[in-house]
Amino acid sequence: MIISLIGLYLYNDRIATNYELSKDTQMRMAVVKTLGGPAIPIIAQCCTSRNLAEGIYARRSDIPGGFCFHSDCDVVVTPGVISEKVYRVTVIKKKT
Amino acid sequence: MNLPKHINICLMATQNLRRYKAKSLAIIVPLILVMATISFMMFSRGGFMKDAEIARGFLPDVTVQGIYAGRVGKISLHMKAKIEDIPRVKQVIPRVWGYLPLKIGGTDAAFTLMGLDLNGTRYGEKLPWTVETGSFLVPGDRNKTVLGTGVAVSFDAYVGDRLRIEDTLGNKGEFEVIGILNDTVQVYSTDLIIVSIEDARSFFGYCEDEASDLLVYTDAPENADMVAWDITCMADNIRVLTSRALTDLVKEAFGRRGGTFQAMWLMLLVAVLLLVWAQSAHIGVDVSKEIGVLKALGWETGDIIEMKMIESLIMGLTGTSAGVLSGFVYALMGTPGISGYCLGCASIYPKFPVPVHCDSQSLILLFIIGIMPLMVVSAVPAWLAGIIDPDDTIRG
Repeated sequence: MIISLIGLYLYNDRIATNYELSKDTQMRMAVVKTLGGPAIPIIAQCCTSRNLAEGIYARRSDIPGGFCFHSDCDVVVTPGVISEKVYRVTVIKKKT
Repeated sequence: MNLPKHINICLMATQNLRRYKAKSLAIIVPLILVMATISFMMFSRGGFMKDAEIARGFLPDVTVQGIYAGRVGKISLHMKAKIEDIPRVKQVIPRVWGYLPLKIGGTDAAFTLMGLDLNGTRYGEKLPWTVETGSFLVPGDRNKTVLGTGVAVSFDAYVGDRLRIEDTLGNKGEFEVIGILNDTVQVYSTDLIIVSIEDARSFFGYCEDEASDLLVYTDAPENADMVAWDITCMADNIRVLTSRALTDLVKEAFGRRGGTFQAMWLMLLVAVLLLVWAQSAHIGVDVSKEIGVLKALGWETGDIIEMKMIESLIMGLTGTSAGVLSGFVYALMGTPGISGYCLGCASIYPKFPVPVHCDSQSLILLFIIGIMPLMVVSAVPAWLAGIIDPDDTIRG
């Protein structure tokens, strides 16, 4: 069991967390460097917080009286204001 | 030290555990569950912490935001020019970004439109590796976008498609998808629609001289605090964050999430310890007779206590090792089933590989918290077993 644990540790270190050895970490850091911030979309326990530093502001979002846009967020509930449906995205498929 | 005697006591202890399999499993199985819970939480949290530490070396030294009415707002590019005049400042890059709250199949989701200054951005050397299909934006690209995997999957968009985003106020944006980022970098990019800063400015209605924030790079990271102080003194309506502050924010956020799990885990551990106490304190007739026979054969009270403590040690080691191993594997698998809770959101990120990190300090700590309480709880029942009177038990 201990040998398996050491094996997993070494595998994980090489694959995921050691910057010198891990291609995955090098890729993640390339994105961080290009974007200019470790903008984890789940920061402050809320997916609407792209801005790491916003904290409470992000939970209140950008609408007066509005709160979190994300229904599954366990910090606050979605108020169901009309602003939620302001944007629309359409994908126009490439003609082949 | 009588080594053969201690070896024999150890052998007797292991034999006891095998003979009373059901009782041993009743303690080991809950211990495995408890240790697996704390392990995957520690390793998942450790992954984010480790990533945050590494990321510090790649972040801008200082990030400057505008504050209006106490909230984060736009920042003027006049400020950029002022910051560039500060000694030790090497480069200032503006960024424009904002949220796109959307309905996807009845689910509320928030995506992020990120506008990068393609001429000034410090591209990561390994950036080409992060693009699954297509290519990344290059200077001069307009009306083109690179998508995070979450966005591409949600809208079934591929390279070559056009992404039309419009709002009810009449603002429109149409971008050609030229690249999609890969799964590995989802943790930083899954919700992103990356465009040029000009496109983001035009979409969000920013003026030419406005940005969401400014990324400041100094000539040496040691000067970050000094530069941050100089910027803070320049204006009142700004927020200045050093890379250390941003790293600390990541740690704080995940530390809090980890704290919730620790509270849950503590309750589980107490339940297991009560179970161990109940199992150990109850000495059955058979066990009492066995101990009586052993004492009649010359075993001393100390030997019985030693045997019982070794039994607890073996169970603790087995349960903790198996639990830590299971927790590690579970974390590497992406904590299926409860990943939503671990990550803070579930419905828009169905697949979300997170970094997992296991270090020697965590392992030592896990073994201490897995074995020590068990040994302490077993001490009194072991002593109770040790003082059994052989005459009474054998005669019944």
